[in-house]
Amino acid sequence: MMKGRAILSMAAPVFRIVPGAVLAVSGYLKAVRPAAEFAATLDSYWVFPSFLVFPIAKIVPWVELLVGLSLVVGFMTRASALVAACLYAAFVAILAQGIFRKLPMTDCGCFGQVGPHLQPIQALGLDAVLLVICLLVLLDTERKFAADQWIEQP
Amino acid sequence: MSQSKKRWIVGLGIVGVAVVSVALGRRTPTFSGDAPAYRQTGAPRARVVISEYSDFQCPKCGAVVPIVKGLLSAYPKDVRLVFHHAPLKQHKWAIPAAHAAESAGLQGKFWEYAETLFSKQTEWSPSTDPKPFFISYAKDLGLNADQFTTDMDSVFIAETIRKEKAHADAIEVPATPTFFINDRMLVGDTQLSGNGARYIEQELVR
Repeated sequence: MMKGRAILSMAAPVFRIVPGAVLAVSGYLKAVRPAAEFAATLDSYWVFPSFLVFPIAKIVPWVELLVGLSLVVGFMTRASALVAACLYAAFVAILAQGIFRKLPMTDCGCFGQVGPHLQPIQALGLDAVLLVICLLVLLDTERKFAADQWIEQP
Repeated sequence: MSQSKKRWIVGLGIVGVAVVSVALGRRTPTFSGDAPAYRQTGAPRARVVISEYSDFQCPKCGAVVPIVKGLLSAYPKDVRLVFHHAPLKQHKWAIPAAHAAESAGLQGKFWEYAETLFSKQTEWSPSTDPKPFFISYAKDLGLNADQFTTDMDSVFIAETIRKEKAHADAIEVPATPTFFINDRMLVGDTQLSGNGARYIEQELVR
């Protein structure tokens, strides 16, 4: 148990930075483009009522970007990891229902139109792994190389 | 320095980095209103220009025809439609269809021909050679078939379509159909039917 904690503590900065960087990049690539693009991706998942699609398309990229940056620098790490885990869990659920319903999706749209184009099944795998990593970050108490450590210093 | 002060500094730093990076990286597509007269319809001095980026082999592009027509008839004095070719790689006959529509345009029947291509999409799209279909549609519309065939294979039209495709790629048209209502983007039939009229109204009161 102690050994596990020690390994987690050593790996925690990487565990924090990887899902954070993925979120920050995907949020950034969507935030720099017109909301209509991401809205079209959301439409293709047939999950959201049409009146919600544009507000979600405008807000989610910014949430991804801010939470992703917070995780990368280790700011409010537990809260950021929790929000990131919720985002990844939502992505997993949305992708899984799309795959299960055999919706005509060729690209997950996770990184907008410019970034890497992942098949929905690839994105599902990536998001599931990142979700588990975010949950591991929640267990870390040491906050090595995190802004939180500096903030909490007297 | 107090913990709360440090927290504010880091928090504001993160927000600042996010806002500045997005502001610097923002790429609002600059669509082109430049198109030959036969690919424009509606009020010539309209305050609202709808630029449509479309692919004749894309089913959704056909589905938006009545929506676009509805907007043009609802705002006859205020809206002009400009059609742009954005043939997608995965559509084998999208470029030949664009050639055919341009050829019809040179004889003054672009819109009629475009509507025929969309309405008969299920006929020519799965065929192994759509050219005979294209020529027969031209004849049905009373076009000069010889001229139409010559134009369809012309270097001039090939260059026009190449430029159109390069333009659509350059502005990163995400899917077809994509619309710009003045400079505001809408992607797909659902977004156009849900927001098209509202965007036009907003542009008219600007």
